[in-house]
Amino acid sequence: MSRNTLERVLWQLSVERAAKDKFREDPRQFLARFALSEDEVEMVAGFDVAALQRIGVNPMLTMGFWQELSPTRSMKQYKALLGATDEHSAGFSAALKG
Amino acid sequence: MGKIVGGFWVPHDPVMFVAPEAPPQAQRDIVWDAYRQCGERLAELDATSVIIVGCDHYILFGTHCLPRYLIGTGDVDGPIDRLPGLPRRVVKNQELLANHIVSHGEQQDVDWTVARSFTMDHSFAIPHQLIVQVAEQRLGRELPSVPVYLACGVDPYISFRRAADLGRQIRAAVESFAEDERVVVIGSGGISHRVGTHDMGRVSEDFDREVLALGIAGDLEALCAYRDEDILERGGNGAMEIRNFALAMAAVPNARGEVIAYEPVPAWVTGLGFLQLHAQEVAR
Repeated sequence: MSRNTLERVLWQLSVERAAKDKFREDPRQFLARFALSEDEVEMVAGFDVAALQRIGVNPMLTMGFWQELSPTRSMKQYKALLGATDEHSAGFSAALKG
Repeated sequence: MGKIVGGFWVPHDPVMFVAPEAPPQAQRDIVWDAYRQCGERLAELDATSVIIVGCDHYILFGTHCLPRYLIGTGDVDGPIDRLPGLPRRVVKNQELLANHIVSHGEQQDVDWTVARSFTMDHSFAIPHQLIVQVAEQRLGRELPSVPVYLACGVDPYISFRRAADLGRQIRAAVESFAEDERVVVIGSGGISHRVGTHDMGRVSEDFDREVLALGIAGDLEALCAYRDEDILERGGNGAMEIRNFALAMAAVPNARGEVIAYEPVPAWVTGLGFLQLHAQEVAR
């Protein structure tokens, strides 16, 4: 697993407009330029934020990536994917979008 | 000779701007008023410049370059991350002082990474716009502000020992500064919060009050004794920012703290602590 490369990819997708546009056009073609395994490509293209965090990707990056490019951008869905319980989201729910 | 005349610990919570009405009204009022109080206290210190110690949130710096500590010595603007109610603008730096801190550091084996132009993020912009600008209005003059960034959000994190060293070096640099400068150091961050994790929104009041108690006591040694794994477990990844508190406390001569306000606000995902660091004349 390449945490460094994954963080490089997610950082670019969080801050660089051109990278975001290319990812939106064709995620797998954009990701082909990086030294990622097939599993890693699927993690990013499939917005599998839980898998990304399990291999050590910084949560600030997974959240930024999700908020910028995921289909729903829903923070409720993001937290659910990470396994958040109702208790985890209780106090925060008023600020959650979507 | 310049002088550090005081300091503050304050939060920099972007959710306040994204979801301003999420918490109960009483909590909102306390937090916004705490920022105003900090601004007024900053004016009462008759400061001539401010150093704001912030940290990156994996926005400014990518995997290609992750500085442990950095100072902005020239043009400053931002924030780079657009938040409603926090406009992007140019900030007047105290360039002479910032460059003096760098050159002084070279004599002390402190090799600052330098940004001769710097676009900061919300960790600088929030205290600048909510505190420094309030003080500027009260004083009727500009308060040039120097950005310092410590690696608190992205590993490898700066060590507490190094953060405190930097605070002491900044103090020595200010005291050897040619101008009659009155400097206030703001440590921006914390206290407990989780960013992007499954338990984002969990606030740890016991941890927050423990940190504030160390601020009241001026116990830099105990603050610097926190282990990263304990901070992550007890206060979350956002609480790693208490390194900024360590720098501010080390910079203020014989600092003793006074809590201005504390509110645990899950709806804003953070335990929001405001503390003034008073400089003491008598040596410990």
